[in-house]
Amino acid sequence: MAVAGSSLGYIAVEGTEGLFRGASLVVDFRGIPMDFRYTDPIRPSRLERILYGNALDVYLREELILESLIGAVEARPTLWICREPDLVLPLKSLTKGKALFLSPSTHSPMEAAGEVEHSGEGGVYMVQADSVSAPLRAAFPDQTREDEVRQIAGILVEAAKTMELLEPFGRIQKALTSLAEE
Amino acid sequence: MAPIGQDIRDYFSRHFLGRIGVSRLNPVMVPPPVLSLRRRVETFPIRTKMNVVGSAFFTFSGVACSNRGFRFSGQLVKVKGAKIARYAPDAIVTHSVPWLKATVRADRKRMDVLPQERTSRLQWQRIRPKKEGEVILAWFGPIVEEAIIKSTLNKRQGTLLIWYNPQSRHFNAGGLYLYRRLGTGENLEWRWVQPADGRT
Repeated sequence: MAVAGSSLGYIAVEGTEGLFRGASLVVDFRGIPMDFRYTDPIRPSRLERILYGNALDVYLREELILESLIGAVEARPTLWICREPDLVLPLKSLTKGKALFLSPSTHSPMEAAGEVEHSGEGGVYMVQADSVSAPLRAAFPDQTREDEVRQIAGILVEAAKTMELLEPFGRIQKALTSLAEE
Repeated sequence: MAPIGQDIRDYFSRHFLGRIGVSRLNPVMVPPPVLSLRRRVETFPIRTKMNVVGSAFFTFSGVACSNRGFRFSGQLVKVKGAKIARYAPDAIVTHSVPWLKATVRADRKRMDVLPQERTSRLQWQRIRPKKEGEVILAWFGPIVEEAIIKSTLNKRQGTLLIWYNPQSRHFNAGGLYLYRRLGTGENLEWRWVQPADGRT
């Protein structure tokens, strides 16, 4: 049975056509929202693009948007999940908790829910969170220990009993789209 | 050298009286110059000497920017956001570039009204419970049946939209099969199964 007090935090940061924004959604293990935050869109001026140079993208995503969102969220989820692989490390260091990048895969399912397999890439594992889907591709920050990976996989398995793990990203995207249309 | 005494001068004067002139010899010697061994260093800057004319200019209350041959005109030069004056000001106000900042807003209500969307995972189901005369169209899960307020089948995309009651305390999830009964028109039938992975 899913743990009633447990929650997952989802982070999405996007920057397209010079417009940057981000959102965070904390849900319980059924996917019911507990906290939702978003940033106003940030459009750097031409002068700011010149002043910040190549560091602008990283600065906006990691320091400005991600840090602001994490600082604003009142709920403290059991696990943070992001959909941009380069945000895993700053996410982990900012939250001082468990964090990973999660994405779908086209691999054939593994034997049973809870199985974890190293993909061959550094810090990337295939996690079979449930028995009714393809394994998920999970990327962890470098230096993440094997036992921590298995502990996080256990949390994913527990949550996957009552929710679709990647589904909240779809809701975040819909919310950001509706905000942009206002 | 000892100075010549008066008596000697008198002797020679009497002896050669009128024949030769006797001059007085000043025996005092000029003291030798004393030079210091201390050296004095002189420095000469290599760089070009620069005069800052502007600061002197602007200490007065503005400098006229026109003369007989030229008149500074707002019609000639357009400056965005500032009125053109015909004198240069003695103080120039500059604006600093503001730091980029992110404004974070909370809006859980917006998220509460958005449904969760379940896609069919029938292709992953190993066990497909069905009776004779039935066809399984889809399997959706996991879904907490007791927490549902409303659900809708999106026929265009084949997904199930679910609105949960945020106050619900139920956590037992199940799966939901969608069947079609053969020979009875287009009747669709929903059937819950526990647990969520579809095992009966």
